[in-house]
Amino acid sequence: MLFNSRVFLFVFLPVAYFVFWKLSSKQLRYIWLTIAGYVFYSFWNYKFCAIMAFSTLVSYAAGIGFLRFQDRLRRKLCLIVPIVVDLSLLSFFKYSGIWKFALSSGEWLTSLWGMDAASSLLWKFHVHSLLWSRALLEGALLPVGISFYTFHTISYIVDSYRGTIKPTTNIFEFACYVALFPQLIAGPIVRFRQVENDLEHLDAADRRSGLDIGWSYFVIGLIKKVLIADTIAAIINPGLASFSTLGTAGAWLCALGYTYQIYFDFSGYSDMAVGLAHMFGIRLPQNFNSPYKALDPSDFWRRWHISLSTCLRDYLYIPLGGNRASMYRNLLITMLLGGIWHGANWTFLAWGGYHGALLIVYKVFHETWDALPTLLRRGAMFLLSVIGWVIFRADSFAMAEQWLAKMFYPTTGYMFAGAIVLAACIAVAAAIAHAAPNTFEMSHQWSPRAACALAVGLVCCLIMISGGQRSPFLYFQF
Amino acid sequence: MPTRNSILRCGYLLPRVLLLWALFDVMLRFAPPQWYAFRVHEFAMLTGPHDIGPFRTNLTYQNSRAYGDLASLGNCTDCRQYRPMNIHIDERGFANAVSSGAYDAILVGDSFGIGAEQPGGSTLASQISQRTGLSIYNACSPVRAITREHLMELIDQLGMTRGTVFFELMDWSLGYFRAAQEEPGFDGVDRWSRNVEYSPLANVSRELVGRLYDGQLMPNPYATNVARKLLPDRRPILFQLDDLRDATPDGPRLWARYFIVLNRELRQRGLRLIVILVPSKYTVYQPLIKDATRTNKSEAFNELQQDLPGIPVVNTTPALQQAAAYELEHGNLLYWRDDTHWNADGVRVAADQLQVRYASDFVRISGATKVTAISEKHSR
Repeated sequence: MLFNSRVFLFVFLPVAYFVFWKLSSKQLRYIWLTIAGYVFYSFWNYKFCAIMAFSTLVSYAAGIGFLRFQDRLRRKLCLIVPIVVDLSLLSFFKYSGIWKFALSSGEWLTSLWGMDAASSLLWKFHVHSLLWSRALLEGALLPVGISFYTFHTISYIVDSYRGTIKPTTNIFEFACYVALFPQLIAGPIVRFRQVENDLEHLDAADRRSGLDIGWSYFVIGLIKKVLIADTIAAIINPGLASFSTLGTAGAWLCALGYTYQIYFDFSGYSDMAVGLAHMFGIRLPQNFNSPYKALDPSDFWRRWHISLSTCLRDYLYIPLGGNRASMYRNLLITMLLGGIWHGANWTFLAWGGYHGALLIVYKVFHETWDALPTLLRRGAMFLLSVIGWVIFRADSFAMAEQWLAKMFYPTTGYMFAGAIVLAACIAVAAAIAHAAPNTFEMSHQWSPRAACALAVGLVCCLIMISGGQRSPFLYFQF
Repeated sequence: MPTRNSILRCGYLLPRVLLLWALFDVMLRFAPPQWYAFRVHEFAMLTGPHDIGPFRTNLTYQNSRAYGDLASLGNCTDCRQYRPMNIHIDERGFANAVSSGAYDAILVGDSFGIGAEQPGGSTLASQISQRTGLSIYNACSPVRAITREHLMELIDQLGMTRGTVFFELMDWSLGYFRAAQEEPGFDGVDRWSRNVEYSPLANVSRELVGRLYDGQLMPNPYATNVARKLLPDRRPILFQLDDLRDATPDGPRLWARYFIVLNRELRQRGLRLIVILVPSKYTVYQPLIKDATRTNKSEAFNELQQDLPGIPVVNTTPALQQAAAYELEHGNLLYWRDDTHWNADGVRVAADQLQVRYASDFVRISGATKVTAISEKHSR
């Protein structure tokens, strides 16, 4: 079920909302939000609910273990076992490409590591059985949102282990946190400590103010997604389907279009998630802080997908040694893993590597870079991020190479239908992304005129949702 | 700034906009369909208190300036052929103008049999009726024929203990046996979810948004489903992309098995099955179009016919191909240029074939002195 679908807007949300506020006790609200989360999730594939429930139970049990055990060994076990389970589930479902690669590399392993024929055969059999059982289990489909809720559960386990949070003994509170439908499918990756207080006081939430702010966030997010991101997608997708015929102008329009599409799509989703959570008395953290206003690569990653980059920083980069030892190596590993988190695709890995390289170069030359005029730094950082998105969007390295070549070596070619509308959309998107305040910088106390403008925007979105093609959020695939 | 009690607060105003939209959507369902159904397939999607038919019961759809779906999908304004459209849905949810006391035959099939694209009196049911004198109940359903279970239920409802069941099968179905056998979703949860999914306002929105996706201002995502070809006289003609695909190898065998079972069930009830094989537009015009890719659907129909010994089969393909070539020399077509369906001339050729083969065999039960074709009553 998509936030921009009629069944969500007209059936699921009203039912979830009214029942929630009819319930007075905290416990009942936890239970209701958990049920709502599982119903929401089951609209993709009800079988995958079992995986989420299993992951929830394992992580909850780990939390209970941290409360019960004080000795180092058992606490370590409570840390490692559930993380291994969660990561195994993630890799099992998400990285079948890597498993297939592993399968094809049987001979390579034999020659490289001196593996004998029997071991190689065993290795192949093992990978084959994994692939087969995966296909059998879910028809080669990826359980949507698995990357996000796995991060939720892992962050909970690690924070509990570190003592940053006190694990909850209330299974419904924890299940409600994992299955909270606004952030279940595509984030933000909310850490337990960020919503712990709101969950604790769920029975004392202010319905009226939450509703005002929530609807404001939600409709702004919907407008960003439906009116801007989807319009851009409707034009650039057919253009990119025949990208080999594009000329320089077309290649640039597609690159810029995708740069804004992914931002408005994902930040729109995040705003909708924040808005929906507000309606239920929960405040989710900011996920985007005007990333295209960034002045340098470090700044970009403080602004883009903040919940992921902070998770990578806290749970990967710092444990690897952070700035203290082998900083460049740590940066590169973190960014490569950040890239592969998006899926088993070499272009994602290359995108992560590209950003890792940018961060390293910036760390080396930051004094020179920081001395440049602000406008120049901002423009250059934006251009670098556009190049990154070309790598990210391309289906293969060959496509990325050709696309970039078309952008930087003048070539004539075919201009796709809708180029004028796309240019207008890019202009509007650029004005908003580079000059306007982001949703967390807004007060959400709108004048009557502004509220009416949002209502008109909502009607336009409803027309587009009802009359246009259904468009899933880009980050659902990650 | 709004006060806490202002009605122009987001928390007050925006959910009410949604509520109003939903209410308006529900209310529109009770309005005449021509207010919100701009094309016949949108009307065909209407859901409501069905009996066993696919449509909402006791409803009339009229459109004085309808044109084909392919012209609409492919943004081919130059191919549009405007015509009036008029369908009445009876109390069972099928396209029949009025109920008759007794029926000699039932016509089962898809949209070719419904006759949505035909003027009154030119549907397959009425053309067969005119030639044979039979009173025929048109039980055709869009996309695919009704299930065997629904057919038996209909036979019981009509009180038929003798007579004929005409089964119109389009060659498109040869590639989609399983889909064609699936429950079309008129019952239980399926019906409920179809009703939730169906939205008159979505039709209106599609009409608005569709104007933006005209292939120039915005790319038309549906244009790739339409193949544009040239007739020998240089006139453009549109085909559905699906029609250019081959039948699946096991399609004829699966359909043959289906008809054998259906024939057995009908015989037990004293009814007789006659299968009418109808080619798609591409199958008919493919020999006339230069450099057209060949499909195997004619051969698949032959194969199906051979697999059905003992069951009367009227394969209209050769006659339609022959007539198409002849009529084209006189500037006429047997199918709409802008739609997948046949026109009145195409229906006539098919009905003639049926008359030639089986007219003398039909059993009249209704006893009417002059059988008026049901579809003729449309025009009243």
